[in-house]
Amino acid sequence: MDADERGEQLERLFRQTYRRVMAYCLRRTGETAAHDAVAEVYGVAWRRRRQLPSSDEEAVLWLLGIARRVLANQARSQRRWTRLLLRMAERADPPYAGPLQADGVDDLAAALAQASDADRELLRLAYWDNLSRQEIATVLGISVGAVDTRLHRARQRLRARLDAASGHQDPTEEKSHKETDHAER
Amino acid sequence: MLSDDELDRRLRDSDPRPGEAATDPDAPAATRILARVRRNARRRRRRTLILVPVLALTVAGVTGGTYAWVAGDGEGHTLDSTGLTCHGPDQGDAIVTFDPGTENPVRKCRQRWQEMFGEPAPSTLTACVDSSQQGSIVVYAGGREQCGHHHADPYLGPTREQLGLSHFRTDIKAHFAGRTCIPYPEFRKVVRQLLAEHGLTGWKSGHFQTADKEPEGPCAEISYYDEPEKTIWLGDHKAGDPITWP
Repeated sequence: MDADERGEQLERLFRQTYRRVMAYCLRRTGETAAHDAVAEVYGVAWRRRRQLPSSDEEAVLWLLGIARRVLANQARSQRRWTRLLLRMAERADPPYAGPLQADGVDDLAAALAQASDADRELLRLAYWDNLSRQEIATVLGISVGAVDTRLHRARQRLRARLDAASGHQDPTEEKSHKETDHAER
Repeated sequence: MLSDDELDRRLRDSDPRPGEAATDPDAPAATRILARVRRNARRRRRRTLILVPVLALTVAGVTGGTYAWVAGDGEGHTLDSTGLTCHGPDQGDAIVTFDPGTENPVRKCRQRWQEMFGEPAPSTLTACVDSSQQGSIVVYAGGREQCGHHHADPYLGPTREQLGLSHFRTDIKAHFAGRTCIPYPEFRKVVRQLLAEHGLTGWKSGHFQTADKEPEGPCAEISYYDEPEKTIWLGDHKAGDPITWP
């Protein structure tokens, strides 16, 4: 394959999938960071093009899987940078404030911000990106059964947080918080 | 208690829904991104073309060379050897500090699995280098096939330079053991000596500053090792506090 053909192949992949990859990134980070992430996603995809699935739909899921890792690395670098700044300011290391944590957000956004990264990502894939259970399983590299279980637990934990915020008592609340504590320890 | 339908509705309504224009592949922003990807792909291609004939001189090198450029340094080595991610079962990932000279990533995650994830570690864990630009080490539950499954490469251990950096980290910690305030000039001098001692050519130290360009404080500590840039970033340390060594 010569340089022109490779260029065309890259452009075709980009045009077919850009809308969903960019939407995925914009739902999770700011515009500038999303642009950087999308460029990185296609850079990685291009280097790994031998593994590119042949069907368009599977290619999108494959790219979303890469995007997930690229964004996680961005967040990791950001956390490291924040820690560095805080250490300079001689302050204790506070917990990372996720992108959704801000003043004036509604209780759902606050509950999502308190959720673990894994819960939040699962809920976003299901309710924002509108992926099926099978598609979520492909993006996360887990079984459909694991998606069902994790999604069920993620919803339970979210519901417990929302109920607690609105003053309702939920019998599963205590258990859910214990599970979260394990993860955040 | 919220009903299932209500919870579903609220979750769907919380979707920020990026607009059509923001995701348009013909928009100027998309064109700029594509140009950037092409530029990087061309640059990478040139590097690969140079590398492959060199490696062709050795029998073993050919396979390694063509498999390169995918994660980390392209040969199963991370470019970020001072930390690793343990990929948890249900509650996400845990990032822990790591010393490639004295620790094994799988063993490190196994030792801390119960504490981090609240359940026993799986019987098999595998260390991979992920497909990010820096190629971070990630430990997954399962065998070697997990690396391919997560679009990663198997982790093949530290480079010679990373072993040097590991020795540097051990020695500088031992050199300043018990100290709670090390002035910058003294810190820099010892950093220089130890870098030379461990063959860390091209490495330098820098004083990490924000845009305000604050002056150096009375005491220094190591904030961060930037391996791709070969830079050890120093930051201010509060006199009297024990020093934490990254």
